[in-house]
Amino acid sequence: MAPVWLLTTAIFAPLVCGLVSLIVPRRIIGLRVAIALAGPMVAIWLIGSHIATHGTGSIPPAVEWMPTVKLELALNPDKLGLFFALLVACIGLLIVLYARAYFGPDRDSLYRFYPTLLLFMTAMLGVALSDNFMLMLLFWEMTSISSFLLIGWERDDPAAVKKAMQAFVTTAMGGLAMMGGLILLGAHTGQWTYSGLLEQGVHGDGLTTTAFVLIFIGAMAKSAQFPLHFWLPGAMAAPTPVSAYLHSATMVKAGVYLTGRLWPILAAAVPLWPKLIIPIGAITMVYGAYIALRKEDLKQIFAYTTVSQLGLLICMYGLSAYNFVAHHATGSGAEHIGAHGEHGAEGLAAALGQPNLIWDVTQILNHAFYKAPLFILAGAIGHVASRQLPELRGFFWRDRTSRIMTTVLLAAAFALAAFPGTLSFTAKEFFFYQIYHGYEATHSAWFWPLFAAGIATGMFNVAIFTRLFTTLTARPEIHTHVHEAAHGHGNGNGHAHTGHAHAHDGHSHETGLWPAFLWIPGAVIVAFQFICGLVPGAYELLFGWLEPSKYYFEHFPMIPSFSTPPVYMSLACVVLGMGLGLSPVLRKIYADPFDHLYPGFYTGVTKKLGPWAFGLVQRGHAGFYVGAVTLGIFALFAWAVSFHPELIRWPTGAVLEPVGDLLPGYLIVTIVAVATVLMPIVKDRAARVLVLGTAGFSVTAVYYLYQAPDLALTQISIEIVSLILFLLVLSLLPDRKVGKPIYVPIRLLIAAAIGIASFWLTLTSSVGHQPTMPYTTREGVNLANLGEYFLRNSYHSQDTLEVEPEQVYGGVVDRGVAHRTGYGTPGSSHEDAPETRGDPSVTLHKGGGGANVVNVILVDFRGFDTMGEITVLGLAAMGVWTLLRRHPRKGNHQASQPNKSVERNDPSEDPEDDRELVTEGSPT
Amino acid sequence: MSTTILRTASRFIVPLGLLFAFFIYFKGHQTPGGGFVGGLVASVSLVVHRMAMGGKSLERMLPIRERTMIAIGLLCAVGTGTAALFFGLPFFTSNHGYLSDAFDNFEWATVMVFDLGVMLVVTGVVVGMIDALSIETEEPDKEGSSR
Repeated sequence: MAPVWLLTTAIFAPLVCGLVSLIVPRRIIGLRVAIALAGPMVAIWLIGSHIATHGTGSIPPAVEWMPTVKLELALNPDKLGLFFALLVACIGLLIVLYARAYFGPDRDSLYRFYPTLLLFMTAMLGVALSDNFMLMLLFWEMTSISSFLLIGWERDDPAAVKKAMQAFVTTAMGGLAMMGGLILLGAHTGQWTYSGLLEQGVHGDGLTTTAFVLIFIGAMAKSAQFPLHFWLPGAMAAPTPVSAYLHSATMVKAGVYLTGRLWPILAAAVPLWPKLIIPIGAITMVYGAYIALRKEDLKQIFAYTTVSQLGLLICMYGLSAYNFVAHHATGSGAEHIGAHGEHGAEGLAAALGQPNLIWDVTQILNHAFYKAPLFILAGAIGHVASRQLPELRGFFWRDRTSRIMTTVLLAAAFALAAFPGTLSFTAKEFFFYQIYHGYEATHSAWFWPLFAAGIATGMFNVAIFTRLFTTLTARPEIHTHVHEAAHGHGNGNGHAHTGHAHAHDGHSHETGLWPAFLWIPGAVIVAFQFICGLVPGAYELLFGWLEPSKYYFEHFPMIPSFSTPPVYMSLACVVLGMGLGLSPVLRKIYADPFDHLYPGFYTGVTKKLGPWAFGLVQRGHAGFYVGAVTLGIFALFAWAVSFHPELIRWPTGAVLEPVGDLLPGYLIVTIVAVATVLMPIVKDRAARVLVLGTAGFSVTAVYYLYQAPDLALTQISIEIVSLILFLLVLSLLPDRKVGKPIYVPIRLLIAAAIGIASFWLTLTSSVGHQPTMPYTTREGVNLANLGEYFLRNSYHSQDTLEVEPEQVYGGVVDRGVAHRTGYGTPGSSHEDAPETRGDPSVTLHKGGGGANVVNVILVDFRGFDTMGEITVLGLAAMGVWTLLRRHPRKGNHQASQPNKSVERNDPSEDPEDDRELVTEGSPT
Repeated sequence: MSTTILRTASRFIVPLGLLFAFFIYFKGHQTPGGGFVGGLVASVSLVVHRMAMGGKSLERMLPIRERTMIAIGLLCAVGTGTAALFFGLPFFTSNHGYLSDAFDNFEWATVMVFDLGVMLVVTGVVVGMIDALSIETEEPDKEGSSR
């Protein structure tokens, strides 16, 4: 298989598996888990086989998708992309197992959970591997949607739904800014792929800077950067598998990933890069860590440390704008000790002039390696006891499970605090090195706050570990009913998380192997922290090949050098953090003031602006709407005329036919006119519908008369259908006395205005000047209009022999020579003479292959429009059903009952039916 | 609305109408017709059946629910567009050719699948909407049926 298709299959494998899992009946859980596991497994396998055959550098040739909007299936499996894809798939694999244990035997939750989770996996794999901007945007928005669905998991809980909307609106608005930025960047540079842009390079002019700022807003929103960070702690309303996966390990890194994708392109070229990114990252880093210390709910603590770490990662990319420079400490720089003694000479001397970025992917991986376990264990502990820290006092001593869980949690928290012996320690050192070298490169006083920020963040993290440790392992007081107590608390803190009230907590706990999967995935992941932190060369061997920017250190170092500041910064972190953790200060719960940002915005929009705009536009009176629309059309017409006065000239080119030929037309038009005049006079609704129908059927006759059988056929069917629909709807409306018509003169005026406007529009569009087409006939004559183009190309292409393939309109290209024998062209006046064709030296472009131009336009030339139209049509029908089926079917529609069981497996079922099922089938 | 005359007539009207719908769908690329009109004609026939025989009968007659029809139709349409990608051509590139002499050189085109999708969506939407509205008019209580 071509590489691009292989990787596309890898991207879509989880989604397909998710959909397949819907076919499995609800009660079969084992098979469902197996299918869900197959998704990430297939993805890993396919990505692995791609790496095995093509390595990590090659960019597969792109496949065109929609050339006009620059969308193409262009993938970029470089180290960064592959790293992200593998991270998503591998952690996803463990999360599938964890979710099974977390939801227990709750079959309805699992039924709904896996497809949604796997949809996210596909979206995230797509983001990671996309090279084309537009393709990445598609997947990017898909991640927002799946995140929305997962945060609002408890869809009957208004608080959870609110949080889901908050997350969605925040990230989607960022996404819009990003879309603008990427389009600007693409249009400005002419390159629509990262790889192409990297090759071409950019100039740091104003437009590029604007594009960068817009893109970075998107990254900020996605990666929860200050001041848009509030959605991430709110997203903790999601079930813990989601928090562990989306909101710590993968999705929130999308913004970091995007920054990582762009830094080689923009960091050096755009002067604003460090000035914008570093402060935002640094503020986020400190602020998140500070709030985290002052939370009591485990998930909230870890959510804010995630915010903090995301700030660190963003800050890290901000620092990449500088280069390593020689400085007074060169000698000591060269003394850095590498992973093995023999690499001691590497370091600054070798790194001179390289970007100030040290093993960036390692930083991201490191965070996933401790944050996902933290969340997994927070969920596990919340599952068996509570998530509120004060209630977990002495949890370690409870029983065997609690000892295991506490150990794993503290191991992960040990890495959070970046103590020596973990991968995290080295990663934090890397970051301090970067700050240090950034200072050496600039000698700017602005780096002093950054030093302080780095130390403060580390200090808070150590303090969090200290407090977790002292609380969890404290000698227990008498706690007899901790489990029960857990359900009563949790909402009293004032801040709005309600994750505590999850339905799963009410489930009976399982016995057997599965409950162990509450902590096993966490233990597996956190093990890497210590393997990489303790065994020299292990990281290099396992993950080193995925690291694209091995600047400064050619090999992964283990032991810090005591001659440079970074190690003393780490030391300061530990000492200050321990002190802070044990001290009584900063113990009170502190609500993040930014929690009010979105609710304020939301209230402003929905309670103030919304009703105001709604009241302005939606008057609830049909007359107002019709008047507004018709006046609007007239205004547009008048506006056009004011620029082109020649529009209201009586067209001279028109040739009038003899009156005798026009007589049937006159007759029918008279009927239409009479029906139109009757409309306002007739009072009864049903009669009005019939009068309207008269006009409609008469128009059908006009079409038939003037040889538009297609239109006539369509019109007559439409008339029948709309007549039935009208009568049905009218029978549902309450009876209303038709009073005396009001505002008659104004209404007449409006009617006259729209009449004049549409009359002139019709007249000018039929005989007026039309723009010429860029297409020429074989003789080199320009086509008069688009209609002629369609006529000449709907069956065979008659005119475009000399046209380049990309110019062929409607996308109908034949790369070979089309041979056509027999099969006459009924009623077609533009049949190709056989002798003009068959010359193999000429590339002949096929037409649409249909003699019925109308249909060829509908399904071929304008197929895209038609697809949009039928989509809208389908959505409208969904809307009608949703509105009408408020009352459940009963009585004479029992026939629908047997279908219900079939419907349950139908993924397209509407949410209302689904909700019905949930209340029916949930065990609680 | 259901009278003996309508019921009897519908036995002829409905099959013929459906047949005609498929006829104009198949001929649509060469002569007047196409998926959209075909869908409308088919839905009118089905609505006639519903008027004559009632909603239950319509439900029994249709092998799939209307919403499934819409879903399949949209899949057909999107599938036609996507299929081109697998040949390395832009989205919605279409192709056509001719069957052998045995089939009178019938001209096939990939857009026929697309057109079928249009037809299914149109039928599903129209029949589904009218069905839903009819249930609403029939349901509440019998004294309202005189409207």
